[in-house]
Amino acid sequence: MFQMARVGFALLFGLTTLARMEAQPMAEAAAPLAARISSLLPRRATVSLEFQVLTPLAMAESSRFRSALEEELRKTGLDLTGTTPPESRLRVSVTENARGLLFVAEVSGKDPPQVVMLPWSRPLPSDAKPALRLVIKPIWEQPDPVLDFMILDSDSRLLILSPTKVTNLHLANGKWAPNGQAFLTLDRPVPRDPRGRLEFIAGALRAFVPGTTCSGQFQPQLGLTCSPGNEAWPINPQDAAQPVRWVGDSNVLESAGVKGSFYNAALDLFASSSESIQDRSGVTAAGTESWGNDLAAIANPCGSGNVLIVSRTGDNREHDQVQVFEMTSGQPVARSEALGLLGQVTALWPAETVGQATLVVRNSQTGNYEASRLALACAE
Amino acid sequence: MRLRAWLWLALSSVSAGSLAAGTRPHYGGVLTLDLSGTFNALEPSEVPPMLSTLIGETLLRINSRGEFEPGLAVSWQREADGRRWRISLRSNVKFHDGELLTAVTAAPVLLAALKRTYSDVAITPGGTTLVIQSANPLPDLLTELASPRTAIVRKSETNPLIGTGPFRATAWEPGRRLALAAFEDYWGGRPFLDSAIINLASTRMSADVFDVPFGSLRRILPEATRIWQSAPGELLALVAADVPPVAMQALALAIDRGSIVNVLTQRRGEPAFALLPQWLSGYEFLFQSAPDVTRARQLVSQSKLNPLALSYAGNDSFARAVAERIALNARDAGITVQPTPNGGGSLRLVHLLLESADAAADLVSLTRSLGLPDHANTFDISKPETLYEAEKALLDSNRVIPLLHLPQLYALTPRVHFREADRGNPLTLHLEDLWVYP
Repeated sequence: MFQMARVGFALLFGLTTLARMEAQPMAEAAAPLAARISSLLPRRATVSLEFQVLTPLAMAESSRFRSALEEELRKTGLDLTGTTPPESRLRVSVTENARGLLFVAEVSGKDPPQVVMLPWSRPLPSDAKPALRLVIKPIWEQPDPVLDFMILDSDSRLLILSPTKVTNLHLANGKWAPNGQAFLTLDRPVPRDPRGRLEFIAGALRAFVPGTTCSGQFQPQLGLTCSPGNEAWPINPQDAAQPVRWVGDSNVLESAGVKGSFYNAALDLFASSSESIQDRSGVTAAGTESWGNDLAAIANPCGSGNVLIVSRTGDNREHDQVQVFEMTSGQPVARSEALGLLGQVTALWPAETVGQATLVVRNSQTGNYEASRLALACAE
Repeated sequence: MRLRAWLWLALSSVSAGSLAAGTRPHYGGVLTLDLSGTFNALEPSEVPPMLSTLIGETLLRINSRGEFEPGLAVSWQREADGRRWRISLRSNVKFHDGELLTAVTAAPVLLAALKRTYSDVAITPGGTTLVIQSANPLPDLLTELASPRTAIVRKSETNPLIGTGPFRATAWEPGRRLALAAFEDYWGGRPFLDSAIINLASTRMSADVFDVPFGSLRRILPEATRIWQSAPGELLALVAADVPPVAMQALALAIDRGSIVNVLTQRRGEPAFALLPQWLSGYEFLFQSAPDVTRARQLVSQSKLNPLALSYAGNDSFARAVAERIALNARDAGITVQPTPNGGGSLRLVHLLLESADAAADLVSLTRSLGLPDHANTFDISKPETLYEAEKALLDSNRVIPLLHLPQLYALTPRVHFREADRGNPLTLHLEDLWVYP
């Protein structure tokens, strides 16, 4: 497994965006590229530099890179002053291939022209909008889907629900360390859009995946026994009034008194499988057209009652957003800026801790499933 | 341009709600798919790329970044300088007839496929592990294991193709029709569709999804139909057989690729100046040049060139239009080119498909298909300039002139939806990720 234990969430509390561990700052490419370019030229050669960007890139980013490259080229002894006719012409292009950024340097003035290339992993786009109210805490990431997770035992234990198992981790020296796992016995493979939910009440641990319900405990040792069938569970651990159950082995839910099946529900609104947000009688809620299929109720720390965290499509179709809405006179009113994510939302549930929500995003760059906690902070 | 940008650029005509992220897929329903082409053998290596992984799967896959990913194998290990490879199979994988995939069931199928490439290869199955070995190193084995040629499939008297993929074949009329049903026990989760009906050699425009050949771009599509466009993965090129190098150089200078793109592909294609497209190699721009008829005339004036016959496939109206335009450009440069639907021309217009986002593997495949010298042993994927140098040598040989890079185009009716969530092959539409509303 390639599981990557992240530092404990306590150390990361306060981050407003998902960690960007994989990105290499572009300016760091300047030194190795300069070294490769200088290997083609005599020391102290006079060189004219042409720079072009052939891929979408922020102007500030490309300017920083160009400055860094010029500095590194000078360090190697090349003369970029341009006061004398250059012995060689250098054209540096920032381009991109299937694997990421590619720097291409062409040196001419000699016959034949020479080319060097340097592949570079692309820096991820910077956030245009700071998330001043939605606070996101990265908890864990892994290549396999994360359907749900719980943080228990005074924040020292993490249970991860994957399509075929529950993994138990404990916090040691600020990192989550594996401490056992229990496999789910399933009659058939999980659906293509896998979903699931964990519940922990009075020492009893339960996992609900479509078509199967598992029960057990995590102390003293994690263990689960599974049986076919969908039992009901409260969609919000803080509110047992809305029990739901999976429909067969598909990715939708049902609940008594609610018309039709739905993907998620909160505050008596249902993300219907007919692609609209509806009330329990099936009437579409006005003003919710831009919402996605996931929503979760969360206590409002700056007012009374609950508000909704809603998934929605971001500016880039690969990158979803989450945003806070409050229902006022039956109309949704945005209460936060939309928070851009690094991929598509695959799970959004109310958390077992009051004032938090569970969020899982599939990072479109790495393909990993990134599990985080969402909380709300009052605006300054 | 970024790879992903291709896909979404293609969807610019799609309404926001229909394919929006943030929405979850819908299970059930039947999808009809009409394809203009046809095939008579239901083999993963013979069917269009869109269909090749639906029934039979390979041990490895190549993702949109050109990296190997687990398929039916979960891990692989190179030993003994690449003469031995240890492949661990995914557990709990079932064939469509319920049989479990094991090393013993996979080994004979894989061996037969690999023997076509490596004559002395041997496979030792053990539990969930396959040990593949040869007296000689197998440096490109992983590429082979990701190719449809090595899909793990078998046949029975009642079933033309039994695989482990997301769909199982329920009916097959060679050259005419293929019916698929969702495989409920698919290890990757059953597809969203219940079933799919694929009609071959069809020119109708009434199916839920149908391909749009470049020769029919001017046809009016049904209202509300959207076009899905892959990354450009098809190379249209001019290949020479016994043509003087100076004629090839002059033709390369004379051909106006931009106007072909604008007029004949309705701006859906791209001018090609190298074998690999820019999105894949990142360096195609180094080969780019504007048409220069004056220089072409100068080259021609220094030689006495005989008229050249340009062959194209007689049933390919797009190829005919391109050939006629090339003949016009050539005439401006003083070269007589005679398009002909018959074979035997000293110039041939050929279509070649890229297989994946693995640039090195694609370059090897293209050069072999074109009958050009193979530089595979010089490639180092961590050093793109090795690919560049190899490609430059191929183009400098004056035996091929790249013309266009073309995407695959599919028309989707409003009831068809999908979510571009994974990093799969960007060269084709993934039927297993489509869903429909009633």
